[in-house]
Amino acid sequence: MNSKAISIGVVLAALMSMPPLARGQQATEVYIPIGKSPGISVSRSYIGEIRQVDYAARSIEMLGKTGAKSINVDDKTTYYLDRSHSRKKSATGDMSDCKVGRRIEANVSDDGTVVWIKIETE
Amino acid sequence: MQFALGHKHNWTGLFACMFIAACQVTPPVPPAEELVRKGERLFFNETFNGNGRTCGTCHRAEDNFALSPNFIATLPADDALFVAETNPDLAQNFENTRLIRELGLILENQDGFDDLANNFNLRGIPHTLALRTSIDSAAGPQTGWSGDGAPGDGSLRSFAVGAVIQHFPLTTNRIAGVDFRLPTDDELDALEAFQLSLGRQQDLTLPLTLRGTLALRGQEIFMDRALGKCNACHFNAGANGDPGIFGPGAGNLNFNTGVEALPDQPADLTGERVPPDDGLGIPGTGEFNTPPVVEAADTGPFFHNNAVDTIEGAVAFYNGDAFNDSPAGQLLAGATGSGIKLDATQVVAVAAFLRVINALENIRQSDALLDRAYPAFRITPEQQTSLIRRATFEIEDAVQVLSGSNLHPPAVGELRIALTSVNEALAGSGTGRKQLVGEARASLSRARERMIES
Repeated sequence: MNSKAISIGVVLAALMSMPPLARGQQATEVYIPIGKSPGISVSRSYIGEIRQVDYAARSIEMLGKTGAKSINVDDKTTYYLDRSHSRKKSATGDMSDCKVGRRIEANVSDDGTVVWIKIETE
Repeated sequence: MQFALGHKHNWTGLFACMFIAACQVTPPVPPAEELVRKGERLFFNETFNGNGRTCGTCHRAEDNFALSPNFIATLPADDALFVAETNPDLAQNFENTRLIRELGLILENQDGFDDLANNFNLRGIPHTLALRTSIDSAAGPQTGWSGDGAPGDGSLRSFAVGAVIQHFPLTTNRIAGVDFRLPTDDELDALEAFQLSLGRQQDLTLPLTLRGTLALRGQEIFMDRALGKCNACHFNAGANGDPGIFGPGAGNLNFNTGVEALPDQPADLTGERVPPDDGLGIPGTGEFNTPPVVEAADTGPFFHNNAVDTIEGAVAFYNGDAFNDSPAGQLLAGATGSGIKLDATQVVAVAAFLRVINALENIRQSDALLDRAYPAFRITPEQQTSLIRRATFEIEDAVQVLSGSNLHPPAVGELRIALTSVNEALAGSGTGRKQLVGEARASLSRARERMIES
């Protein structure tokens, strides 16, 4: 490889070192009911009922089939209000929609970041 | 074995022998092929209880699994593509049917559904050929124009879920179970298998031993790291980055090449509302996904917004300020000491190269389809006819792509002969059909030999 090619490699490799971007069209995720997100719901998310919420610490404790799970949200976490069970239009929400007793699905990435939470609401 | 007629037990033996022989003649359809066939049925027929659209509404087999304005002009007014004109619930904020008809642009809410009137993009319909070679990257699977076309895990398998939600609903409420049904896991498996079966299953290995001098020169420019520089991002004319530059396994990449900065974009000239498209992510980075260019010449218009109509124009784009001032163009100029600057003859040469490799792929694909029409396992007459018909589309494309720039007239002649044979085969059946298909394949082989050394 000549020096010019190496130069191209060094500069363009910068493209590869950029922080990972959100993958997947999150926009349509809002309309996918809890437990139905393809490639996520079966293997990479937690589904259960909210047992406790600490809004200041931004933590949520939930209880699902596999037991209790504590998750920590951040500014990038997206909230979806799943109303499909009552045949109503779903929408985006925020952490205040996470209330004790509500059923949720949390998509947790490999590094522990909570990408989105779907909250079953009326 | 001898059978004495009239003895019951020997008749049984005869039938058993005939059954075994029959089984040997027509073995069962392999599971992988069965899955592809199921996926094909779903792709073209399944509406998922929505507004009548199927995957095939926008990804037409007759139009390279994409959709061009020329093809759209042939569709009847009640085609599901124009459902926004026939379903009152979709009259607002679902499609701009003028831009569908004039420019082949489809409305998408890539950045969310909270403000349908203002927050949308208008994008062309990418083909679904060669997906096997073009969606894997170090960052994960990349689908759609900005690489983030699928919900869930972002995979091709998940793509259909997002497509149903975006394009299939009965109303813009988009309530699952009311306005559409979501595909099942089995359906997603089948749809993925079918899409992966389309087109090339592997990348080319450049340089090719092409016979035409113009295409040969175009290939040199394409691969020249100081001149065309095309091979850096379209390695081997595919959709992946050159591993010598980006590292092994870089795969498919996204770039901001400045297409959005093009002046006088056709959609803008219509006066219709066309918001800027910010590409990958929410909010967007301005980056769009690199498509393969082997299939480019017969799948225009080009770029995510159908901004350029001809393959020559698409090559010339990289000469302009929009590209050379873009983040990708600046990066390339900084690394190589100059932007891309090709003269008109060089633009035409690169385009000729792209036309020739596109036609060679048309020939390969049509031959493969005709081969699949006579498999070792069971096939219905309808399935056979479908495969032969798809072969005609490929041959027609090869003729158009080559004759559009006066390339390889003798090869075009052979292709026209092949087309005649295949059309006659479609009208016939039985051994006559099989013979005509064989003749067509021989003509295809001769056409290929005119264009490339064995």
